[in-house]
This record gives sequence, C-alpha cells and structure tokens, in this order.
Amino acid sequence: MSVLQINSLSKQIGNRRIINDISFSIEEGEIVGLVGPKGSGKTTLVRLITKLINPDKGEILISGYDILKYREKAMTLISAIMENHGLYDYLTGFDNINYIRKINKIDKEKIKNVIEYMGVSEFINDKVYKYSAWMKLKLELGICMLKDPKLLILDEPDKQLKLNEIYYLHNILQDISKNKGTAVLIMAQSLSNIKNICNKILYIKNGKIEDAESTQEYFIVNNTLSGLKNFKGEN
Amino acid sequence: MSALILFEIKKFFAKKKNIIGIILFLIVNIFYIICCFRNENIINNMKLQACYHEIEMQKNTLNQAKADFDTASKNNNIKLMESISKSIKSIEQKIALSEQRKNALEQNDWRLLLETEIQSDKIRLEGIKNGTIISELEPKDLKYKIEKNQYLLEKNIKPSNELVSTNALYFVKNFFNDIVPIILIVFILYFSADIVSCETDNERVKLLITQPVSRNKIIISKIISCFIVCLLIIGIIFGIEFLCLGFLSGFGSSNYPVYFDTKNFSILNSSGSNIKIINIMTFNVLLLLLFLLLLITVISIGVLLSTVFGKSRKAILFSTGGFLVFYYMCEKINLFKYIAEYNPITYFNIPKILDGTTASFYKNFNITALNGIIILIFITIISIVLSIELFKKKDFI
Repeated sequence: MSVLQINSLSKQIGNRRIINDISFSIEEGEIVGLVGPKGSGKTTLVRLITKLINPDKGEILISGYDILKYREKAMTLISAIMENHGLYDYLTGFDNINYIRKINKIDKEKIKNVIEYMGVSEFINDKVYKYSAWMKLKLELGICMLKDPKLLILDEPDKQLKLNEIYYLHNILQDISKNKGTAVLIMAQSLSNIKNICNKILYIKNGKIEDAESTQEYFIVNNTLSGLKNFKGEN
Repeated sequence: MSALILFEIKKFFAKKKNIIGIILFLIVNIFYIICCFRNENIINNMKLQACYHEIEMQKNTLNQAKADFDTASKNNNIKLMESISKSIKSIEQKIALSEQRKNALEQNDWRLLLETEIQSDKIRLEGIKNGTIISELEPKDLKYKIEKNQYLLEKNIKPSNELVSTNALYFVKNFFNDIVPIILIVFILYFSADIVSCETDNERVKLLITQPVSRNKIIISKIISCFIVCLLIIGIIFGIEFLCLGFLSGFGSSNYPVYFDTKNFSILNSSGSNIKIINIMTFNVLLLLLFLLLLITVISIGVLLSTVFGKSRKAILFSTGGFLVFYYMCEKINLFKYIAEYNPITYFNIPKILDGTTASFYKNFNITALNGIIILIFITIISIVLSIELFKKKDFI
C-alpha cells in the first residue's frame, strides 16, 4: 500500500485554480522531490496533504486512510515542516518538543533519543527566538521524528540554509528514509538542491504535475541534466 | 486535552504582551484602592462639614422663625403665632438631632449616629407622608434605609461608607460594581481575543493543526485555558487586595446588611421589585457565582472574535474597542433601553442586578439575575458553537 496516494486533487482559491487534478503516489522509504517555480502550487499541495486547507475535489490517502474522513488517524502517520516554521519562539526548544510529545502521547524517553539524534541538546533549553534557521530546522525535524512518521513532508526546507547545512540535512533525510522506512516528500524551487537525494522527481507547474516532456524542458532550461537522469531513473 | 490546556497556560504566561496586560490591570487596581481610601477620608470629613453647615442653617432658620413669632405677637396674630410656634418646635427638634449627629461624628460614636439617623429618617418619612417635607428619596427607599440601620444597630455592626468602603467584604461588592463592568471586561477581552488569532497570525497554528488533534478540541482547550488563566489572575490579584484591605481596614462583619431584590430568582412576574435585606456574605457568594458565568461568556465572545478576525491586532482592537463603544451606547446613551432585558451588557454590573438597581433604573422588572443567567448561557453557547464551526472550516493559507 502506498504511504501517500493522491487522486484527482483540485483546489481553487478565489478565481485561481491552484491545484488542478493532481494524482500521484509515494511508496515507503521513497524520497520524492516536488519541483516547480514559485506559485506553481507546491505549498498549497502541502497544505492540502496536512489538511490545513480542504480540497474542492479529489482524495488524499495516507497509508490507506482518507484524510478527510480519518484526519486524526492520518495525522499520526505524517509529519510536516512548513515553509515558515511553526515553532513557539518565546518558549524553549524543549517546551516545543515536549508539547508535541504530550499531544501524541509519546513516551518521555523518546525525547532524549530524538534530541540526541538531531544534535540539538546544546541549545534545547534556550528560547527558540535565539535559534538560527538551521537550529530551528533541526528542532522541527526532531519534533517530526517523535512520531516515527510514515511520511515526512518538507516545504522548501533549505531556503535559508548554508551549503554545509543542506548537506547535513540531506544526510539526515537519507538516513531517516533508509533506516526507518519513512517516505519523504520534499518541495523545492530548484532541482539542484534536492536532485542527489531523490528517488523520484515530480515537476509541478500551474497546479498540474507535468508530463515527462515538459519536465525534460524544465530540467534543460534549468541546466540540471543529472536531475533529468534521476527523473528518468537512469544512473 | 489536558496537554493542550496546560500548554496554553504556559504559553500565556510566556508572552510579554500578556504580562504587560496583567501589570496594567494590577496598576488600575492599586489606583482604584488608593482612590477608595482617599474618597473614604473625604466623605468622612464632608459628613462632619455638612453637619456643621446644616446646624448653622437650622439655627438661622430658628432665629428667623423667632423673629417672625415676635412680629406676629406684636400684631396679635394668634393663628400665625401657633403655626410659627409649631415650626419652632420642629426646628429645635431637628437642631437637637443634628447636634447629636455632630457629636456622634466628632466622637466617632457610630451607634449614636445610627440612632440619630433612624430618628431623623422617621421624622422625614412622617413629613413626606404629611406633605410637609419634600425629599429626593422615595418613602419606600427611606423605609429600606431605616430597616437597614435598625438591623445594623440590633446586630451591633459598624456601618461603612458603602460607595467607597475599603472594608474587605464590602470592597468585593464595590469592586464588582466599579471595576468589573468595564475595566475587567476589557482586560478579559484583551486576553481572549488574542488566543486564536496570535497563532493564525504567525502561522504557529500549523504546527498544532498538523497534529492528531481535532479542531474542536483546540478551540475548547483554548476557551478552558483562558478561563483558568483569567480566573487565576483575577483570583490572585483580587485575593491579595482582599487580604491587604482586610488587614488595613478590617474584614467587616459577614452579617453586614445589603439590599437584595427577591425577584432575581423568582419565576413569577410582578410589577415591581421586592427588596429585602440579606447579609453581605450571601450577597458576595451569589455575586462570585454569577461572575463565573459572566467570565465564561466574555471569554467565549473574545475567542469567537479571535477566530473570525484571524489577525491578533484586529481581533484585540475590534473586541475591546467594540465593547467600549457598545457599552457607551447601552449605559450612557441608553440606546437599547427598550430591549435592555435581552442585552447582555445590562447584566455586566452584577451588584446592581442583585440589589434591583438596574431593574428600577430601566423600570423593567424582567431584568433579573435569572434572566441574566439565561441570556449569558445562550450567548456563551452560540459563541462557542460558532467558534468551533468557523475554526473547523477555516483554511490556513
């Protein structure tokens, strides 16, 4: 069974159709990149999958659970990092992570493991507003990993990161996918940032997942041939 | 749910904005208490000054009456002499009472003061009935006053300056009369109108929405936590004030008499109020219970506005500003006097509802505590249901 199955999904905001009849699926342990220019519908898609907004049409299944009917069950299976972080910056990192632990009724011991795994123990008792973008992202990843999600969604996580931080992030994502079997859906404007870690690349434009031909054009325009190879499944 | 509530409380006290609000509320309270102390002293002095002035006026009137009597006796006008003689006796009686009142005030002898007041009120009541005295007080109000003073005397309770009393038990009543209807409501709205909007404002709500928690639970936990927080703040500040005043000015007698309109909890319709005297302890318990309901109602309205507006500043401005404008229209301009019994703001001043002042003011005897409870519960339910439904359908873009 696919971890994420999207069927004929559509969403219109105002007069604009942001998501237009999208269908795709993600399997366990897969890292899928969703690439597209600004305003193509990437963030809206994340919001639909996490049910921050409701679709006009279509179906979203998380490990077989329809998110519209079984939202709470589906939410135990996914974790998401939004474009603008959703942390409470006037509280400490520990307060943030502990809050999510309590909501999800997760054992206290798990926090220690996650803090250690993400390497955030040094600043966990500091207020979040003191954190750098990378520290915030690591904390958010830790919060996501508390649930051992089946699907991890990241909306342009590398926006404010330095090159070495992006490299670390990719290592973490590959490790999560490989060792925990978590499927990862990662949004990016540029293919170059994610091409090395993705098993599959999807190209979104004007709210539609484009066919192979259009995708080829995009990659050529963006001069990322290795991404194209990845997209085609070539080595 | 408990995790959500506890975290909401933690968040509340971690926000600078809220701490500033609490400090402001504390400052307003301290200022109010200082004013009460100051006014209490002023009123005590004024009472004595008024007494001196009254004696002087009465003595002048007596001299004038005596002069008139001499003129009448020179003219051998026996009828006029009899009439003036009666007036002289009455004035002398009043002077004696005023002198007694002055002595009581100077010696701080409250028992003598009460006796004097009862006597003079009885004379006044008699005079109103005979048509010889015009008074700003209605006979029934004078009767209530006499009854109350007699009760104080019988139970050996020292009277206090009721409007500005710093006596702890009476302060409760005054606090709910002066601070609660406007200032406290504004602060509660300030806190509650921020509770949903502050999260949607800066997208923090997304972290919560993407957790396995229903949106109903999120709203309900926010209402409960806001209720607990407000209760905690008011309880602590008010509790400290109560204890401080108790030690400074005394706690007062729990048997202190206050007026209570028995129609408040009666389901039978009648054309007027039915005032009786109850002790201040019972009155304050009723007051606090009704306040809990008022608190839930105001928080529910605040949370609803917070859900509707989404933006923190807008929600706070609209709820506090809107309330002040609406309060002014209701209480000062009396714009909604014909539907006062259905207007929740009518019930914000709980002491005035309980003692029947509001009902008398609007000349609407359907304004009772029972009616207030129904109106406030109705508004609370509507606000909570609307908040939940709006939040459930809200798109967090």
